[in-house]
Amino acid sequence: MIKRNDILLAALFLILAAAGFFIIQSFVKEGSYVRVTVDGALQGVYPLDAEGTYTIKGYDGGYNTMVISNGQVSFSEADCPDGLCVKMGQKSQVNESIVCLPHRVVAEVCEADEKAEFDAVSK
Amino acid sequence: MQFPNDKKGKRVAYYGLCIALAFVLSYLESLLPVFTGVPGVKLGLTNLVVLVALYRMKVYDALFINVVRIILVGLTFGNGYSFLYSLAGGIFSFVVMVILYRSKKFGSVGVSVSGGVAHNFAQIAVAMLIMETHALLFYLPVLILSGTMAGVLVGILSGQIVKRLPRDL
Repeated sequence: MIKRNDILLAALFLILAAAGFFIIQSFVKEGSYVRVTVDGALQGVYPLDAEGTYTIKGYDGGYNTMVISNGQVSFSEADCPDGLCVKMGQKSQVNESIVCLPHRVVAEVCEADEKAEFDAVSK
Repeated sequence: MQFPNDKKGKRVAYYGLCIALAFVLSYLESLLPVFTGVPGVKLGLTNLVVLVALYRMKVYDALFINVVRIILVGLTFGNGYSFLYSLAGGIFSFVVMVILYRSKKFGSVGVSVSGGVAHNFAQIAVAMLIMETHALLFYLPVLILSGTMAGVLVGILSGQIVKRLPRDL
């Protein structure tokens, strides 16, 4: 049932996961903007240093409520069945994201100097 | 009255049994609370049925049961694109599991772990395609970890079940 190869395989995956964590950790930086896309299209870029509550219209007509407070972004409400995005909590570091699969909404934290690039893309 | 020794009928009965079981396990799992904020972290209880079918029936039996299960669950509990995610995860993990199973170098735990991780890989890949973002890549370590742990659990369980079932179903 459990062979030696099984243990090796499981260990390999655990090492991979740990390596992944470390690589991601080394990239961690506090972000300054939140970039929101719906179905791959840029919906808006919001500064993290301004408090605010925004309603984001999802792909299928659903909505997500995004809150920016104390330099952190979180989703406070959504009309999707699982509400996973709300459970994801607060995010503030570069490349962290909150994802709503049913509404195809991605809110991604990014650095200041990336904003210009995103504005160019949104045109 | 005596029934003829009907092999086809027997197989249909086992299909029904396995699909019903997988269906119920899918439902059970949807009742479990979501532990983390990471999409895709789950136990994968239905893989129990797929693994047992793989070990005690033929590969195409297991594939048939798996595909019917995904379609049924997608039609009942799913909402639109969740079907696409589970189909991608289900098919890719099945292919990987069959390769490892056929190699005879791994036990049920290894097969199950590879299936769990492959499932999560495929779902992340589909999600990245649909949403056109690389941000999801950052969930990969968590998903590899959760896939491995869930895979070990399901692998041990299915190994125990297979041990107690008759040789040929």
